[in-house]
Amino acid sequence: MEMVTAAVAAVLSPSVLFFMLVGVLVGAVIGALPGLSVVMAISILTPITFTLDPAEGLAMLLGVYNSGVWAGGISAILVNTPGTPASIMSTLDGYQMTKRGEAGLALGINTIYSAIGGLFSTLVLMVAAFPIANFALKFGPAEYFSLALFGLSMIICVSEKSVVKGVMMGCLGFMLATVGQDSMYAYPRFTYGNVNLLEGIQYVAVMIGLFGFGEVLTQIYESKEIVGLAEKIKIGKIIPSWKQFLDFAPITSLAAFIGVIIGAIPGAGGDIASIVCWDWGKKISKDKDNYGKGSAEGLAVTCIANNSIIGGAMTTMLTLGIPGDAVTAVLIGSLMMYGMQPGPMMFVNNQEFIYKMMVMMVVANIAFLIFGLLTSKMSASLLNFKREYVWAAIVILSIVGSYSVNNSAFDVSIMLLFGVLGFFFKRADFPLPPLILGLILGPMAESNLRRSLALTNGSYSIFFVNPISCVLIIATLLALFGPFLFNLLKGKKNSGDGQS
Amino acid sequence: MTGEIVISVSLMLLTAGAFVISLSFPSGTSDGVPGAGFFPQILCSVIFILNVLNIIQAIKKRKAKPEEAFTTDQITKLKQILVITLATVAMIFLWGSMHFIILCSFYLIIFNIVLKQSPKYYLPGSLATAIIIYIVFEKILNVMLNS
Repeated sequence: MEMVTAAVAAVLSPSVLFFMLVGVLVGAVIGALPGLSVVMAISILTPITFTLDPAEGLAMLLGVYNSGVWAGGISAILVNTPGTPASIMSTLDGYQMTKRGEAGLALGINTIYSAIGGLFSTLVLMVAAFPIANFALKFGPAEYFSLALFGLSMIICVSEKSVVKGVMMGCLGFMLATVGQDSMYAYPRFTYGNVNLLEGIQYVAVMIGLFGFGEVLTQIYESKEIVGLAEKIKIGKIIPSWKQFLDFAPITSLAAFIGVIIGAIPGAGGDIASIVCWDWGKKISKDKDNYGKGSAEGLAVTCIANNSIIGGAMTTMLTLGIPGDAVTAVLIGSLMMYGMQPGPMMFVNNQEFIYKMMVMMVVANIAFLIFGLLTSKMSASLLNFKREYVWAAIVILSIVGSYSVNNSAFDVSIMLLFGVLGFFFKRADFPLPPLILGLILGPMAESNLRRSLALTNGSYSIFFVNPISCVLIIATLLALFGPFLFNLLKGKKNSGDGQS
Repeated sequence: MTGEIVISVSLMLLTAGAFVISLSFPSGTSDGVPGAGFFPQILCSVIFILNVLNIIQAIKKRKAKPEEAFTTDQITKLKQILVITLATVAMIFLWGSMHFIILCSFYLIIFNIVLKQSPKYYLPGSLATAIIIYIVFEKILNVMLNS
């Protein structure tokens, strides 16, 4: 209890609150602008927060995370263009409400239900994190190796179209993680005599390159002439009625619960949560006929699902060290930069900070709730930012941000290299999140594989004799080959039906 | 699809090279504990095989749906991307040899020229941005931008 009180006091200090509000503001702008992602914002801001106190830095990043997911709904509602992938389903009902002259109500629902989703998932994080972490403390090297493989397999198979490309990118991330001194005997690998590579490839520079610089190059390539996205939109009333709150309560509660579970699955993000919840809502709601035609309930369901994934994703990240989505993959890098390794040991070594993060999540949700309701009438103007100036800002912040990690121009070269590679990978449909995840999980996978084999004199049986490890290996194989086997069985069944 | 094949072939060549290099790393101890070369060798082999599979998939796709040629607009944008990349390379080479505010201003001006923006806005905007970044990073965050 003392730690909780200390965490509340620390988070409510003026400096932490200030940086959180800056994060909420940045997240609102980035989230609302179509094409700019929360991953990009956090990647660029991570090195900037490095010089701050960890509580101030994380407050800023969590502010961006929570408000960015919410703000993605603003452009979805006002101009039928989702600001983030998570808000894709908000276009269906939100934009129809705008066309009906209820843009204010749609924005209000987006803000209020996003905040409720975020607060609910934070509550789940508070309740579930410690028992999961206590369980994970029993993990040995074999379990950690299997866990790293499982985390990678989930993000590969859930997030992208091609499993082959996803696995390849994850392995490439693992391979990049082998650059530098090896974790057991400090033998230099692939360094070519360059001292900058002895410490390995800086994942912060890589993620800024892939999600910041590379994203700008992609947007320049894909850009079309757009003039004044949102100029004359009637806003109207903002707060939904009490009756609407009561009517929406059962279905939105269910959506919040499903959102948390989906968020906790590594690799499944807000886009999947909102699609699944909206689809469920459409099946079981009394108002199902209006779903997709401007249903306020349909919008509330997607908004609550969007933000409720955050607590789920944070639970998996903090307790197991496995990211729940692309943003938490980057946040792992941010925490590691502060000298904290997400996973069960963080609950032993940095317990006080865990409480601070939980309180920060609550405050971030309340902050964007107030900010969102107060600025609803102005939010349309957010969409009229000139994107060329935003690109210029992102590019220069990518350069300076990657430099500031080690005060080294070498890291800027790494950022540029991965920015250009990221552009080409994206053009050819190679998924980027598995690469960064492989880079982060690589050292964990390699060192635990080698430790496990050292314990058994080179016998691989340790991974199958140990029940937790065995379950994780089976789950990994199912995740990778399950869809292929399912399609094969389905094909056989269909051909059997055809013959009969 | 051609892009996919080019990327896959490049990765195959790189991983083949990395595999050969990793053969020179310690392979492990006599009691079966793997050494520094074990993990890279496995990964190189897996990446190589997956790229072969990817090339086969890409060729099948290309047969089913022939690729469209680049449009003039796409070529213009690729040129813009090339100039921005070269400007960034130049910035990295010139880092430390001139004051950050001058370097950053020039970079932003080039960026805006490439994207055909109005000089009325980008000239003062670039200088102002460079000064703000310098103050925030060098003076507040203690990042040594001029070293």
